Amino acid sequence: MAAPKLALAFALLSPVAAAQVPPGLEVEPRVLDNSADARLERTVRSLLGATAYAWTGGNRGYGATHNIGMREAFAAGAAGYLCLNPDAVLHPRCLAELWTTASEADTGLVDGRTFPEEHPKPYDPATGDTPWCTGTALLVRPAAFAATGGFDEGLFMYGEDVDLSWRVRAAGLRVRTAPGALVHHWVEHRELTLERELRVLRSAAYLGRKWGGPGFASRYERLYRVRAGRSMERPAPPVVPPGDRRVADLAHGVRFARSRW
Amino acid sequence: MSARVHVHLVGWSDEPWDLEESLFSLATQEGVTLMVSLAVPAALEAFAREACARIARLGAPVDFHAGTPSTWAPDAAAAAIWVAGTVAVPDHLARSLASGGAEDVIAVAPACRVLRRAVPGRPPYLVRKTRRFASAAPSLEELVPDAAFLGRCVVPAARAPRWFPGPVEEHPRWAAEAWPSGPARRVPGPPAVDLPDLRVHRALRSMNDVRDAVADLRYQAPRWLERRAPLAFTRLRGLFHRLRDGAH
Repeated sequence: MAAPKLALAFALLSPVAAAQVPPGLEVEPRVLDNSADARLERTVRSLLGATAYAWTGGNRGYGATHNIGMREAFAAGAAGYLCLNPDAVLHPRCLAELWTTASEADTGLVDGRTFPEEHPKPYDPATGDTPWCTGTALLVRPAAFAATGGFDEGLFMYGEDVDLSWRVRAAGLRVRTAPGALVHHWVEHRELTLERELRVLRSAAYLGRKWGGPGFASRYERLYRVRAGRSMERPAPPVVPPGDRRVADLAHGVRFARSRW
Repeated sequence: MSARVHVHLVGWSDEPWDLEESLFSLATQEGVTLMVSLAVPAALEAFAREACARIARLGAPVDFHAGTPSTWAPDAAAAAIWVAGTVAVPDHLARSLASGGAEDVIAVAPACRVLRRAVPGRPPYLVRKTRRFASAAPSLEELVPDAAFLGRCVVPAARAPRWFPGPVEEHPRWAAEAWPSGPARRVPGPPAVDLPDLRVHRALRSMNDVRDAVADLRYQAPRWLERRAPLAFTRLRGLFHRLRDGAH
């Protein structure tokens, strides 16, 4: 992923150096570099080992990039794949907490609890079940990947985690938060640039079209037109069968769930 | 060389996650070096030692000291007292120092109250988070309804009383010694600190409560509109900015 070198190193070193890894679990860090060139290669290989780096050839978007990683990891027999943002720092207990929750029956996805600004989407305090998992630190089990094929690559950025969560739930697997898995990811102070805002709007319209919410999609297409000064190329996602749409929540705007605050 | 801040972390319950989260928040503060002393209930002492060792492995510039020290760190530019469960954004201490420290002003950061529910064997569940009103020159009367209020204050070392408060009941007395020695000022910007809501009564009982409710409504109402009617929200936001810019 494109990231400042220091942030990349810190984010990757923190889980490797400080993580408490449960007995019997091996962690193999891997950097999928979406930069315009492979200049991070030497740094990453020197920090994390010769096999830890792969340049994807350019920015493919969050979901498409992790699909590459998941295909490789699960083909090699991995028991889980952790999608991790390059600017996230894991609490030392995070991996163990994620894994404990992921090991319970029928669990497809597990996300950590973002820190210091916790995401306002709800989760069940006793079971961790949640409407969708955030992609900041998202543990994917092989069954979830097998059932869905991974992220929808029609979503370049934003909303791909929501979509994957809904498809995993529609496939009968559980989507859960591990409340003890703290993930430091501070983004509230970042300016919402027009480019980012338009990506959010495009993803919202895409999800609306895909999950049977034409009114929802139209609303965000109109908003895109107002903000961009031009119409959005109308997305043509694969349409979800009506029976699976019960898991989608298009009633709470782009939060896609009731907010606790 | 970044300024050094001494944070005294006070455990108020047997909830280990409160300690864990405050320590993680302190270890991820940017632009300062930290000395953190911890006074925790006996039941949590072993856990606190483990938690400090865990967090130290992240490599942040923090010195951890168990127990209540006899003096503030001699090289500290400022002091802060956190109740376990307090969590701040990474630039909180640096911004507070920049806002008040050099002028011997007590910096008071905008804050939210966080209502939590205990969950056996798991971290507390955050039920609700509400914004607190903050005046430009916050008075103690305005702050003390939150037992954890000192977590939003950064006190210049020269103005910090020489003793360390223990239970939260002692915190207003500590603050009452610090406040008369100079001004206090609100740090500009959005809420930077989450304070555990330790209040027993949560109904509107005073003018302070009403101002808090209005402050939260001012934040929540646009968010509600943004979710329900994003197009109307965008148009109103544009109108608001035009009116505001026209007023200059």
